[in-house]
Amino acid sequence: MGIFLAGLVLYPILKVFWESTLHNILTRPDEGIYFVGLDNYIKLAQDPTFWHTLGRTIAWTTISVSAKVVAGFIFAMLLADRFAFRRLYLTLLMIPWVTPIVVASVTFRWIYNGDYGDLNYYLQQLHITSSSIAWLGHGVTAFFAAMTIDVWVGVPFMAIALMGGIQGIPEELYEAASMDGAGMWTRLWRITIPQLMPVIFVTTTLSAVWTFNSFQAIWPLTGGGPVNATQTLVVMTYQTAFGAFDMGRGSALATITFAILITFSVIYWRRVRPR
Amino acid sequence: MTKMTKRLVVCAVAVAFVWPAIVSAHGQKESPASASAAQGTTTITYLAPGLSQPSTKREDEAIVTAFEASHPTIKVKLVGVAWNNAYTKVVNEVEAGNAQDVIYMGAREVPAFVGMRGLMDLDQFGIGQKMNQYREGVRDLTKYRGKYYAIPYSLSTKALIYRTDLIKNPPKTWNQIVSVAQEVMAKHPGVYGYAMSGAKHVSTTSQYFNFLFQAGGRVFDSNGNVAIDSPAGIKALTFYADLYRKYHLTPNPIQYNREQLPQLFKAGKIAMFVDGPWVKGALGVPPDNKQVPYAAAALPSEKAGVHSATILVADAVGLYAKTAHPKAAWTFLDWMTSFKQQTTHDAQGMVPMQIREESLPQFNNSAYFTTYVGMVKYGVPQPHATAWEPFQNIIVNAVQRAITGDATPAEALAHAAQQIRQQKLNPGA
Repeated sequence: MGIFLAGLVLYPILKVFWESTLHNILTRPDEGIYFVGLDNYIKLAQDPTFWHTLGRTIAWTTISVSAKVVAGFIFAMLLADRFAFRRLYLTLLMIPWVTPIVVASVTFRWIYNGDYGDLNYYLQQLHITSSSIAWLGHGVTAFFAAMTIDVWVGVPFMAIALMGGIQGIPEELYEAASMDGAGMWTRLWRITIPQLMPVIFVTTTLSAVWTFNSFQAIWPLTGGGPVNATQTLVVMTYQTAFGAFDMGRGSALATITFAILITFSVIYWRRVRPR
Repeated sequence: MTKMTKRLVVCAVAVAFVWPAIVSAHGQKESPASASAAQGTTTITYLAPGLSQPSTKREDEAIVTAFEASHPTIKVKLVGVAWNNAYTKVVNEVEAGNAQDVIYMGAREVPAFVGMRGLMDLDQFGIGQKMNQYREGVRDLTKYRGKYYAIPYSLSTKALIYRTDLIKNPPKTWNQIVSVAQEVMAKHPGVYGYAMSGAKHVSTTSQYFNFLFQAGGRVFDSNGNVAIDSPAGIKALTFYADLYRKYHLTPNPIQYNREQLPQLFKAGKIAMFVDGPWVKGALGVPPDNKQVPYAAAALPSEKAGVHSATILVADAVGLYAKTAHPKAAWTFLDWMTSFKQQTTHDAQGMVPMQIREESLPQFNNSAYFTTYVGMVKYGVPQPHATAWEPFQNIIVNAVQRAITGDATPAEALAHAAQQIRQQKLNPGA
């Protein structure tokens, strides 16, 4: 097991870190490949675009994961009970999860179209807006439009995982609480959510990592634009490593992403883990 | 010994037994090359992007079959790759030292591959005389720092596509673009007068560069220094952004790349847009159709009395710098870009590449196509950024900043010029 872990996990991480200490632009071999220490990190720290992108990525992850947890929890509560056509609803819920994100993004691109998209059509039919909005034509709306796709794809996983957790809560706890006069909200806050914490902990950790690294919801939809409004760290890493072929700086970005996620996971695990 | 350790040992033993067989099989796979060498034939490889598309596959296979028939000592093996992965594949293969002998690429990628020492200097084959068959703008597409590293193979110019039932006289100047589009919108509510690209896509650079060249500007000056933030550059970007921001003649451009504009046109939503000769195929209807009849017109000039300009974009074919078969690879490249073969290729719907082709009847039998042919002489080659992708990103960001109003055109271009210099993307860097 140790050999596998070293080969499949540790080696790539160390390799990327080593690359991040080099000046290595594949399309500029005339500049040579040489050791620069932490220079790639220093240059990133001095680049305002990097800090804007980092802030945007944190906002993207926080808002998206929160939306997935809330929506997933609502669906989980609704679907945890037995009722007619429950399996049908469960199947429908899974559709976003099994849809390739690239396909979803391309479809949503037309839905969001400011002039001929379905979203504007329905909003105007319902008299919610009076004029068309170019959802992908402005920074803020493009950011939330891309996030909506990420949430749309991520909710089923959250709902199914939380539903499993809800169904695992002993019925006796609710019966005892009811006999003590606990209402719906009290049962929710005092029984359901505390009992679900281990599941919420695991799902939010996983979801945060996936969302932080979300690429397919953004790239086919906006390519990181307009300007850099939907550029997250993973998009910036891709553009740097595979657009500019600056492997040194791209590796530095990848290392920073890894460091952020591992730090987040450890802190989150220590604070939230059930004791 | 634990269960896991036992499994690992079994796996290791299995690999030890299977590995020689794999190596042996690999060796056998290579053996035909040796056999062909023994028979006096040379096999070269040809990287042909888009080979999964039936039409491309058909044409490439026909080229190879015809070449092999006339050159029995040379065999050509086609190597396919999806278009959007082609650049990465070449970069990786050059980096690994095992690229294909003959490489089909976008001409804009030539500088990056030259920078990687991945392309052979073709001057050693006495290419100068051959290149005289091309117009200067076309020649310059693959000429980098004074040397030819590839031969242009698929050329496009741009023209204005317009609705003939809505527009009697297509615009000839920038001012007329505005007045004609306004007239269409006044008479036909729901139809935009004009549409253009502003998405993160290569077509946004091309569409802006058309205006830049028409205003007399260039991205780089003759010494390879950044010149995009010149008064002409600012004037062009100001007009480009104004079409949306000031005149409201276009749907929000940031939502669209060039490939999406024909769909809007066919749906009757827009009256004019700029595109290459292939757009007829994308529209799927002939110009004289009843629903959206259209024609192609020369791109408008900046003002009356000044000739127009179009960006010249081409795909090109070059040779891998470390090919083991330079003579055979050159023979293939020279043959496929000969007048006869080039004409056959261009007749598939491309703009004629060589000067002699321009007068051939097959390129002058429709007003639609003649418009594109006529634009060649006003062509300005796509700029030679040392690496295209980061350059494209910088230019598109500048265009988007101007369109969204995040910055004035002057500020957006000044920032872009600074970034190009910083990242050493100008050929003079």
